[in-house]
Amino acid sequence: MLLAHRLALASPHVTAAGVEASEFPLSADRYGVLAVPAVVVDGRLAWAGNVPEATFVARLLARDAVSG
Amino acid sequence: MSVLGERELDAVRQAFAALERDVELTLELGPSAEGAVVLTGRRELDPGPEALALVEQVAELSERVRLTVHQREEPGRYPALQFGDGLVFHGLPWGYELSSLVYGIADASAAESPLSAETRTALESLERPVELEVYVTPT
Repeated sequence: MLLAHRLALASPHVTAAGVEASEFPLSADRYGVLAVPAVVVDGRLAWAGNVPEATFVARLLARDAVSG
Repeated sequence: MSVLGERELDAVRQAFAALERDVELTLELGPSAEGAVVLTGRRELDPGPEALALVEQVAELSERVRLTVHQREEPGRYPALQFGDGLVFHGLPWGYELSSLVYGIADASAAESPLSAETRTALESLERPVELEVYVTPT
């Protein structure tokens, strides 16, 4: 979550939210969150678990390559 | 209502001594909670007042932290705490570690991003806006 926060601070293109899953189970269920931390990118569950900073950013850029 | 103990207050004061820039915190509280949240230890509480008490107490520990509180009437995911231009956290800040709240403020206050130069360069090549949501649970 801290990494998402840092990315949002560093880039005007990135908006980031942290969601306490047990307080908002309907949101978590909607995306099929089973394990935390779970990262939802543009409304789709992308991955669960902590990843290094470089991996996180590479996955965001890969999204541009695939669907952009 | 005091939420934090003396040791926690001291730790937060120490962390806040290094704040480099002013940070705007915006706390949105919603209509009354659907139901009390039960945290570890079987303590029931209404997250709105609890969040307000905690965030107010933390914000008072540094002149660099400014807190604005809005009471919302429309449905939404409350409480919601916005850290400057960074992340908005939906839920009770007490539900995750106090350190996350403090580090979140410290990051929003940093004059220079702690991200690597490579990451910052890569971010510049983002072609479209990206919306991230990170789901967490209390630790």
